[in-house]
Amino acid sequence: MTRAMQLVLSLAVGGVILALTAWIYWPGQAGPALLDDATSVQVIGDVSAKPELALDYIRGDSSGPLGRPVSIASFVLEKIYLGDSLEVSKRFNIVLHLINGCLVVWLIALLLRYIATPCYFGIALAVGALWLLSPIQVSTVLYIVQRMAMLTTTFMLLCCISFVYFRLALAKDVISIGWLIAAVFSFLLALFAKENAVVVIPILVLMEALWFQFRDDNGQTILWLKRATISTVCVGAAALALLFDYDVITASYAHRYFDFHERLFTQSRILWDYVGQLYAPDILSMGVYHDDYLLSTSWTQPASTLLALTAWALVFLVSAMSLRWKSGRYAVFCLLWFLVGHSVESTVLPLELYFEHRNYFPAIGLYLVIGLLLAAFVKRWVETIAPLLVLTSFYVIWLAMGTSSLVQVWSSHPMLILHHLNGHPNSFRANSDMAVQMANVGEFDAARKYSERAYAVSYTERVGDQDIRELALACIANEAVDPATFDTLGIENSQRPFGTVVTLHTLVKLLQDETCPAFDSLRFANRLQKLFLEENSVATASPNMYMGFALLENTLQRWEAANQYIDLMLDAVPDDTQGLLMKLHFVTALGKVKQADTVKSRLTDLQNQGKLTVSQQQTFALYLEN
Amino acid sequence: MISPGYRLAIFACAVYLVGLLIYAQGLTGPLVFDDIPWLNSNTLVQIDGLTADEWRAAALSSHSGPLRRPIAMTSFAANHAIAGSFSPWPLKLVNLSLHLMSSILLYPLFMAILAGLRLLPNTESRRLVAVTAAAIWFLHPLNVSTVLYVIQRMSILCTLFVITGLSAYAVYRQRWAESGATSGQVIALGLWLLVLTMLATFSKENGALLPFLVLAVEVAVFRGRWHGSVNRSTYRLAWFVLLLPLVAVACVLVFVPQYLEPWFSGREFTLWERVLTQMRILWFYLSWMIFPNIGEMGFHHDDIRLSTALMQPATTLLALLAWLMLIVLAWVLRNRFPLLFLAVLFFLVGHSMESSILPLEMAYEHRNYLPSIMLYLLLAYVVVQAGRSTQRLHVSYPVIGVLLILSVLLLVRVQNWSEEVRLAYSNVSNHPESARANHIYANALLRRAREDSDHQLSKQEREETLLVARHYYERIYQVDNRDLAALVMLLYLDSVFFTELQTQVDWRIPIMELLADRRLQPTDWNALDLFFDFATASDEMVTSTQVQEILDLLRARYPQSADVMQYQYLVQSSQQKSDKDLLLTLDRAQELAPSKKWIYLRKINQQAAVGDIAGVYDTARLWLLNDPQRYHVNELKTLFSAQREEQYPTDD
Repeated sequence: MTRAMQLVLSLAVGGVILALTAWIYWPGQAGPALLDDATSVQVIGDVSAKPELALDYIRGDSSGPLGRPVSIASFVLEKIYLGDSLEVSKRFNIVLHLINGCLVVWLIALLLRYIATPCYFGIALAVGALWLLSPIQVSTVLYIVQRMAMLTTTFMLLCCISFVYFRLALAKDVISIGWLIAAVFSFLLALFAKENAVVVIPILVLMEALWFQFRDDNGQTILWLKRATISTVCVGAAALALLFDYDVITASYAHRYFDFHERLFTQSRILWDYVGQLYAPDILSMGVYHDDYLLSTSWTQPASTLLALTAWALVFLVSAMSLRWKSGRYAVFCLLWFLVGHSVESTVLPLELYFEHRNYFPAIGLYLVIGLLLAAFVKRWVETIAPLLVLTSFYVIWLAMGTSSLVQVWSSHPMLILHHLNGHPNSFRANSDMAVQMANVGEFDAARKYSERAYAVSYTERVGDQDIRELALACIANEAVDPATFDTLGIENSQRPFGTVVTLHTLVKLLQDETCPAFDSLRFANRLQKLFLEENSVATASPNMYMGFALLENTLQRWEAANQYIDLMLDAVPDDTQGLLMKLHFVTALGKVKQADTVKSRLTDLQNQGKLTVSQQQTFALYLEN
Repeated sequence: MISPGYRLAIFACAVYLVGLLIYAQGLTGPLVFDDIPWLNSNTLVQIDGLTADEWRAAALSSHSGPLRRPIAMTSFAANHAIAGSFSPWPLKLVNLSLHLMSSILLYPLFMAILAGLRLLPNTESRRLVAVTAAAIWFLHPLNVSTVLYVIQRMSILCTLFVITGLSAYAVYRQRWAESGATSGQVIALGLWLLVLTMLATFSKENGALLPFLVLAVEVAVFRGRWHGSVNRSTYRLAWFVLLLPLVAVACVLVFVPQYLEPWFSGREFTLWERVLTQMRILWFYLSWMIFPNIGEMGFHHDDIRLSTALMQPATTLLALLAWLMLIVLAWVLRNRFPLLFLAVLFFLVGHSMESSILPLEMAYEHRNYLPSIMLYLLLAYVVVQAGRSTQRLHVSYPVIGVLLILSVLLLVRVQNWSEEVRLAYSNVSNHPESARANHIYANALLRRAREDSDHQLSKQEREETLLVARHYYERIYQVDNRDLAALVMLLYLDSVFFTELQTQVDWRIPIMELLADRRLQPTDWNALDLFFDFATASDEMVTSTQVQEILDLLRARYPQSADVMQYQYLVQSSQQKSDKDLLLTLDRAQELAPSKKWIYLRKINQQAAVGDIAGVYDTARLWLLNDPQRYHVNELKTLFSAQREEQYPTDD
């Protein structure tokens, strides 16, 4: 076969893989918004009508320490130019997934070509197909907010590709500044899309050490590169050691139901679980909700923790031994790609335990293992390439069938709720989702049953949170609430009766929208006043919770109580601009001119410091005019 | 002057053209027997093909085998997606095309085998034998019940992949016997064979025989020859791997037969009875291949007497001894008549899955579709050699003679397959003692009488048709008074159409007697399905008390059967029992058979009818949970879109 024919065939196969992926994912557009979609994506208002607010949103996300402006910009631009709907967002994700698939193929092809693999592009296509059509990607691609993980992967891959080109030039003794700049620029974009892009630096170092092995085109070691790489590793390790503060880290777990050690123990099992889901997916247990994952509380609780740790130790041992051989180093690189890819989200940081989308980038390493096996076979027996690719395509088809069925589940909100509940019957989120669904269809008794179940399986929920959820469910189902329910609210955990802000805000929003006119809002608000505002009350709440109470009182036009709540909030966060604006609103309504002037003065200071968003500035301006 | 090669090619084309023209007459024939449940009644495979997941669900929608035969099912789905329905013509056309492709692929296989055996002096003779053998297989009337029986595309596809694998093996192996090969070439061929074995097995499970058939070709043809010499260890290894499963099965049969016996709990014969009967049936098969008497062929062979012991009937022992003799003879003469050895070995290995210890039905013609190929090679060789040894005749005359005879027989058989009643009649004529053949004929007549919507039949013709149908049902009962389906149909006919009969028989009594002690077969359950459908639709056939009696009897005998719970549900529905009672019945059925789709559909409808939306969700959740491969995920999705419009799907 001539090179031209090979190229045409490869492009045709690549086109088929992309078309198949798009075809499989396309029904997923009809799916719902989930969890963080509400706080990160759906909060973005009508930016096409008010483009001046675009920057507010791009700078205003609080998902990560860097604000992820690149990802948020993609949501904002999508809303301006493509339209404001869930379908558009999901379609964007699907297209982005296809683009990432192309980048994966490109990168793998470059890597395999470097190690002189015959038919490297065919193998790269196979690896790309495995990655594109793996069922584990569904909860990334069809979960809108995971655009952040996808976009960071896009730029991380571009960074890797740029580095490879830079490195290939260097092997010819040419320093390609262009590719170096491209790599740095891609890295920065990746970092501002999602912070775990930082892992790309150790991955590039590993790529140099284990894949390129410091060689030039003549097979000679590039000494300065070797030294630079080793120095980078040493500096990085030293920096990590210096930055690591045990007390700070353990203290950051205060708001979690697990501690630092429990997270590390549990992650050893979870990583194996990810490996299993990547190679032999169990579709039933896949989804967004894994909050029922059994916690490892020690080396041996459960016993599988010890097994997992032992297995990892063995893997490391074998990997260390494999470093002696050239091809062993390639295999170790694949494994380390996976582990380093997980190093931010699956190690010491106090994040939730399990999310499938965390594998979006690391999965490339594990599928590259298959590519490497194929490459080893083909290098030894070149005649085997065609049947090996056909056999791999069977595996791809098998994975694609799982993905296809999962996409169908994700394309219907009720189906997704049922799927989550079946796969995770002890998940708080799955049960509370089902409770809301039941309330939506007017089945309040069933909704309460699932709400109770959610409370029973929750590690952290307070009785008060359950009570507020059930009030919200009653409102959604338009069900009358027993007055006694209000009177018993907050009796348990009297010092801190409520912990879940989202539920309270949801209820307040429902009351603001007059979803349930029969709901006795006054009695509810009176009970809260009794708990939090009476002279001898011991109950406290978080600033956001106080804001929720204030919003409730605002709905009832009881400015005095609203003002008291906002004062409690500002005691904790005195410079909160939203809180100050609310305060301004309440004191103005109460006619407290002096207090209003004080607040205006404070807000003016903050405005001068650039701490007010455009939207807040516009609101503030209205008060200044009066 | 046309070269001999071209002459042969033209001859082959002419033969195939004749064969295609003959088969074309059968393409409009009916969908029959298993075509109905797996195609016409299988909503999952009836797709328009626009969404990817439809294809997945269609591919996995067959319960015919443990692997669900996804490749064959996908091909049916493609037929539906392209044609928009399951009309017989395109379905059968695809079968015929695949049959043609297989036949063409036999040529390189046969050529390589003949070259490997060095039986004939020149390439021209080998070509003639190979073309003749492939043509015999293409035209053989025994294959009609595979090619024109749509669902047997499973066998056809499986055979196509097996033949492809065998051809690839034989062609390369022949080359390597002379000049050797690199390890890469050997591994590549092994991997291709693995690919083809997977394709064949996912078309029909006996595709898993491909590696063993390859070994049969190895030990019978190439015998370890490699790079011009003989590699004894390869030859011995091939024998060892080939015989290993046989030894394993023999050990199980001798030492732990109790492991296999439970497989036969749903059959009216035991493991030993099946094995013994197969001894005779394999001879029947052989005789149909060598002497294609279409008067003996048919759709069903359930009239073949069961062998209950070596001497019951005595032909069992004879058959066994004859097989032993043939095997010994083939072994002893393996060097002088290697094709005989190959044909016998290939036939036996080819039949080792469906004609041995598995609790399948006794005999089907389509089981010979693959195992017969080497026998036809032997036949072709004999015919060509006969022509060569006769000085007065041209070498091709015997070949043309044989192919002409086969074509005529094929034409007659294809004609029978071109129309439902004609096919059914020919089957019953050939097998008057076959309950199934009688059933199918009687059913065809009944359907003709009942579904005569365009009034092609006069009133008298319609009555006569019904009378003939009744005659055949009665005949089944006379042949086998334990045939439940016949009794149910007689009860139905006499209650609905022949209420004025002078000698009215109360068919309900033998039905009750039968239900009290018969080990119910799948066909009996089908008959019961019909009975309860009829009985609950109107009270013409039996009163509600009588239905209840039968139901109570079944419940007592089969307390764990979800099918019986379905009957109870039908009866309760017809008696307009409360929703609570109906839901209790469905709950019980769900406990007994959590994966049955009908339960969930009925339960969802029932719950929706009483406004229990939480119940609908819970049932849908359990359906999803008990469908771990998500075969019905698209139907469930439809349920929730339907729910928004307050319409629920039915299980029609």
